Amino acid sequence: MNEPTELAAVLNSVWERRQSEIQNEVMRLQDLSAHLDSSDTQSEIWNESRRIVHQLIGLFGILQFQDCVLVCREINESVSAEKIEVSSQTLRSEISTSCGYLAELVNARTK
Amino acid sequence: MLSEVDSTNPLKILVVEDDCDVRLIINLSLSRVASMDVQEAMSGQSALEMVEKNKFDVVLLDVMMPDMDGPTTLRALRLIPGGENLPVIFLTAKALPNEINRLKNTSALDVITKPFDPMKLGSQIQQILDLRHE
Repeated sequence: MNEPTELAAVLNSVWERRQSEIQNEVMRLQDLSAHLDSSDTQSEIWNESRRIVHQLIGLFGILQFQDCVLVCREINESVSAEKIEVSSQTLRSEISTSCGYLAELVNARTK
Repeated sequence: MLSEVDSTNPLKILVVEDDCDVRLIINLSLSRVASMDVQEAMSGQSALEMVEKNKFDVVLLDVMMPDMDGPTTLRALRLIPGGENLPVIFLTAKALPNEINRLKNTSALDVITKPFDPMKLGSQIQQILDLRHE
């Protein structure tokens, strides 16, 4: 048995099966970021954003999409902070930009 | 290293992870690459029931899960027979130092952060368990 080859085949099938779901989650994260309020980091929008980022890190991690993991880590830093030092507008802009870049990385892999 | 795993008495591990594909890769990694005896639970509640009925050497516990998250599952695990001293390793996508420290300040043995290398996950777990016995 060749474990790396077997693993690669499983990873390919996971990617094929879940790529549209992943693309949708990235878009949803971008949509949510437009509503983030830096004065209330425990709101449902923040919690849902954290959930999506953690799920994406897990999936990109097993798929070994390191570039996507790195962008997710940046977004995670933004949405995990207990105290936000920047304005909501700046925060939204940063996360939206990162989500756009993430969407480009994901889309590039679907071609 | 993986070669240290006793093939006649493989490490019995319970993997608690809500995402089916992450579970699949972990299972493949630990059973095929590291020759561990792997059982899966898709929720904290399911994990508690399995620990009550089975004996495990270690639990790999995802932190962010719906309904019952990893830390809540760990606290409940400590209250059930067989779970009091069971080694638990958190698996998490959280990577900020304060988040990791919070997890390390629980009764868990250690924390493995996602993304993990499927080819090395087994040896990571074995190293953590070996350090415990030193």
